[in-house]
Order: sequence, then C-alpha cells, then structure tokens
Amino acid sequence: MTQKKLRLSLLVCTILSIGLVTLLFAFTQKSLQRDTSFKRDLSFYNPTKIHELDLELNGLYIAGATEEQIYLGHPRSPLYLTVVDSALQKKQQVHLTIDQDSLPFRSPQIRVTPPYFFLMDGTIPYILRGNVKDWKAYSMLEKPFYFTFAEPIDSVTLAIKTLSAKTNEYVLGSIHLSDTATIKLSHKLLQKQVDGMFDVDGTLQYNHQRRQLVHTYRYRNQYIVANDSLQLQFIGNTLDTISQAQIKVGTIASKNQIKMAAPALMVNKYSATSGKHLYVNSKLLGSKESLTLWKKSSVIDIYNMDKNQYLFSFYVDDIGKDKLRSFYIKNDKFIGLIGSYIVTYQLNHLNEGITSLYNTPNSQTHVVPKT
Amino acid sequence: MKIHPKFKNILLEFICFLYILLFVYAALSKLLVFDEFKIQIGQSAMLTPFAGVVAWVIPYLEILIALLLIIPRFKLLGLFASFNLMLMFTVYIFIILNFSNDIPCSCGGVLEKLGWTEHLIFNIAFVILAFMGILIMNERNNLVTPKFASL
Repeated sequence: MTQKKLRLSLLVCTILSIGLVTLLFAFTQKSLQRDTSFKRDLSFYNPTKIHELDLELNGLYIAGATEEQIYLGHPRSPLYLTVVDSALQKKQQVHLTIDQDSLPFRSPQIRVTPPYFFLMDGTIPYILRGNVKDWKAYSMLEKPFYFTFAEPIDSVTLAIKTLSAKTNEYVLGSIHLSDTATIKLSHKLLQKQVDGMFDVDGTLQYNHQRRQLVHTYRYRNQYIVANDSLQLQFIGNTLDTISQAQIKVGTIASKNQIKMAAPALMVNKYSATSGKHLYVNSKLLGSKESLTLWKKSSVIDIYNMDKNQYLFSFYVDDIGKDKLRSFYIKNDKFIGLIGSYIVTYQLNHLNEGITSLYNTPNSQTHVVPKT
Repeated sequence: MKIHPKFKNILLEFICFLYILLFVYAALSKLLVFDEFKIQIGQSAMLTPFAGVVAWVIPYLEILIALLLIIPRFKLLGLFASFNLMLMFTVYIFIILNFSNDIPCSCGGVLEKLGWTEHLIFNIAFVILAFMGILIMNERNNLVTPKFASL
C-alpha cells in the first residue's frame, strides 16, 4: 500500500468503528418513556423545603426518627449513629456498645424506635436490642433465623423479608424475640410473577399508627397491606399500569447464581408510610408532566390506604447531581436523603386538607378502582 | 520513523504477540463462563437486543483475529481487524462512561478487576499499538515489494 492508500484505509476503519458503535448506542438508547395512562395531580399540593443540612457523609440511611430527633446509620460504621435534631441544626454522634467483644458485620442495620433500638444483621444472623438511654445493646436472637430485611413492630417483634427455604422465593414474616425465639412466615403475601426473587423486590415498612405491614413492589404497580399476624388486609395499586413485572432473569449454573439478564423497568423506587398515607417515589413519567422538572427532581405520589386512592404528588428537588435516595415520614415532616444531604419538607394541611381537596369537583384526582 | 529496521521488526512481533495473548485470553475467559458472560452482555442496555448474537460473535471473533495474526500472510489483515475491534471496544467504554446510566462490565478474568477508566486507558494503549503495527508492517511491505518487483 502507498502512504496515501494506507492513510485512507486507516481513516475509513476509524470512522466505521466509531460510527458503528455510536449508531448502536443511538438506536438502543431508550428515551424516557412517558406513561400516558395516568396524569399526576401536582396542582394542589406543594410542600416546601424547610431545612437542609450537609452531613458530609454519603451512604447514610434513616434508622428512625422522633419528634425531636432523626437517627442516621451507616452500613460501614455499624456501631455509630449520627443524630440530628428535627430542625437540622445540630449534629452529634452516638457510639453503641454491645454485650460482646466483637460482632461480624456483613449487612448491618440499625433501627431506632424509642425507647428501644435494634442492631441487626440477618445474614449472620443476630439481633441486638438496647435502650436509647444508654445505647447498650444485648443479644436477643437465640436461634439462627436468617432474614434479608427487618423492621421492628414492637419491643419483641420484627417484621421480616426472607428467602423461604421451602420455595426458594422471598416471603414476608415475623420474628418474635421471647425466651424461645420463634419465626413465622407467610407464603401468601408476596405474589410471584417471574422468579419469586427479583420480581417481588420492594420496600417493606411498618406503619406503627395502624399496626400494619406495607410492602410496595419495585417492579409492578402494587402495594400490599397486612396486619401484625401476617394476614392480608388489601392489595392497592399505584398510579401506573405496569401490573406485570418487566424483568428478565438468567441463571449462572457454574456459580449457582441468579441474575437480572436485562435492564429492568423500575416502577416504585422507594416508599414510606405514616398514618393512613403511603408515599411512593415513582420512576414513571406521567402524561403532560414536565420533562425538565422530572430530570432534576424525584416525584412522590401520596396515596390514601383507607380508600386505596391516589391523592396527589409533589417533587423533591435534586441536590447537585444527586437524586432522592430514601425517605421517612414523621408526622407532618418528610425527611429525605439526597447525596450527603438531609432535607425536610413540611407536609402541611395533609390530614385536614385532603378530604376537602379530593371532593372538589374540578380536582383531577385519579381514582384507583378497588381491588 | 528513524528506528532501526531490526528493532521495528521486533516491535511488530511484540505487538502481534501482545494482541494474540490478549485475544486468546479474553476469548477463553468469556467462553469458560459463557452463561455469565451472556447475562452481563444482556445487562448492558446498549446490547440487550443483540445479547445472544454478540455473546457468541465476540469470543470467536477474537480467536479468529488471533489466528490471523499468527499466520504471516494475514498479519496485516489481522492488525487491521485488531485495530478495528479494539477501537470499537474503546468507543463502547467511552460511551458507557459518559452517556449511559448504568455501567455493567463483561470483560473476562483479571481484566474484570480493572476500573472503567483504567480499562479505557488500557484499550487506548492497545489501539495505538495496533496503529503502530500497521504502520511498521506497511513500511516493511513497501520495502519488500519493489525488490520482488525488480526481480
């Protein structure tokens, strides 16, 4: 080849290679799909951000909250809690002590429900409980009951999500920490659609006012409500129409693993509950919603669990490039974690206002049919 | 380039050797855990629709290119193929890093341990190597061909 010919072929090769991959990207890049089946109601309700604080630490989670204080845990320092006041002015650290020299930590979680707090790791497994007066935790779980997630119901009972040995699928249940620990599982609450593992993924919360377990599915438009004895109260629907989980799983025989084999369509990223309300961070854009606003905020849809009814939605702004990660509702306060920041929003007039709001004739509230 | 021809030859052989090593290693480490590789390919939003085909084509293409590099007659073709494939991998990583929301990895063996940025640098280095290989190879051919022609 002459120099000229060589240069030409190199140039052609380069352009073809770059072009091919770029085209592949351009054609597979899913534009944000708008779900035209529902319309969010954003006109009535606009909670305002009242406080914001940079905790200077990423990865914190909300372990609990009272009227005065918010407790934050970090998976990598499980013996410390960051405590901030509800006005987000003061920040302090609490050191937990345990009744043994050391504990293994694989997936440690702390929950604070004064006067008690729980330090637990369902993969080891153990549950320690202590009093918030002295922050000293004592081992409470006598038997090796494994769980992937737990939320305290009362001082001796915890709602759990665990892999059932019988079906190899996720189930909801409860652990009772009396003299002889007992575990109770319900195979009827979570409904399998694909594999019983990934498709039933979601947020499990315990609603203390109503004494109910609330599980919001991540990949379908459903939430389930059960009582303390694990009996189904009702199945509610979120706004959208994704009733079947759109996920694909594959098996890696050599490693005995099951993995997601394609990007999944996430419906409800996270949820929280307080009183009769359920708050859901949805990932689906509704009809006529502003795309600009959607890109720089997270939407929270509020439902009335009594009536299985959608009420309305509001946006929680991103901070920098970070989106809302998780949140917690304490009375009339919405507490959110965004990057290293903690924010609070005032949920004003929620309880008094709602009844009058959705009775107004020109309200565009989407009414979800009862199941 | 004003480098001694002997050194150029060694450099060329070295580049080919590196590529053969890389491609054979990458192909085998993919084929050995094929079901895992296929899932990883599927997890990449860019490749999901073609996961089945891509997962089969990539490892065998790598072996084919390694064979081309071994056979002297096809060395230049092999270098061009290497240059192209490596450039495509590089562009893929660049796009994933800068424009995609989720970042899955499907490189085999120890390469899996590389971070994405390291991976990008690694790939760019290989693209440059193939480019150099093509230049040297062509220069050599140009030197050789006229001689034969005069005969």
